[in-house]
Amino acid sequence: MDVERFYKKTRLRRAAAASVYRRGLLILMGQVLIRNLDDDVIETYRLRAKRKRHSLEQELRTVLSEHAIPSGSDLEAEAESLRGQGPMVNDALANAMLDAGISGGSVALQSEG
Amino acid sequence: MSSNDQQTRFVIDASVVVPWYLDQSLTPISLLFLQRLEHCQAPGIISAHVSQVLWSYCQEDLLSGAVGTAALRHFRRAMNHKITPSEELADRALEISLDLRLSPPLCLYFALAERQEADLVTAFQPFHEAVRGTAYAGMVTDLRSFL
Repeated sequence: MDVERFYKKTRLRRAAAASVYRRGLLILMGQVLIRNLDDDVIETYRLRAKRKRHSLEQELRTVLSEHAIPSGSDLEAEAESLRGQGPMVNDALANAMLDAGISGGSVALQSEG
Repeated sequence: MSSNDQQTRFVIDASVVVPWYLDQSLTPISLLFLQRLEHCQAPGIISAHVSQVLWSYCQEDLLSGAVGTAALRHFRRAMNHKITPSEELADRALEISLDLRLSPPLCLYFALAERQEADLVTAFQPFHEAVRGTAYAGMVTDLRSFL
């Protein structure tokens, strides 16, 4: 990625982008643009941020992070898709793997039953 | 005490987590804990244990590196707010380890369960063997007992 594309992607001021790019500090965090947000909602968060003496952006970042807890059904569906890509594991093998992982023991592979 | 603390009924270990990602006889019961994570906590060391077990499966070519990595990422998202730093539990874990003759890192689970007045739910046999006949026996529940 050249400095121009980096500038456009990060939306940093041009000088700041060039500086970050030169130093190799290419750490891109996610960004979201929320359209059609009611002015009163924004004002509520702006006043709350002011009271806490930090920026509106920081306030919104905190609120979004605190609520980023996936639901149980979401987590279960994601885990199911991962399970579909692995083998069925018999109890002996599961115990051996668990022991190897937690106690540092060796793995005694058993044939799948 | 946070609201999370008040809801905690179970301390879980890698033996509860790994069946989320690899089909085995304990998978259906372990998924009940995934659905009810608001009642669960774990000490920070669980991340290393889950990672180690997944790595063992990868080493034996039973799991691809990509799936192992995705599973670990999923675990971190799921347990994001449910992990207690091991440092907070270290002193008590050492005391328990002297009682149980079990290594201090493993006793972090007991220290957390004791602090939260929660059950340590596990299918890891050394935990059950270590507490047999001790005052800690009532603290440990076999994951299989929920079947």
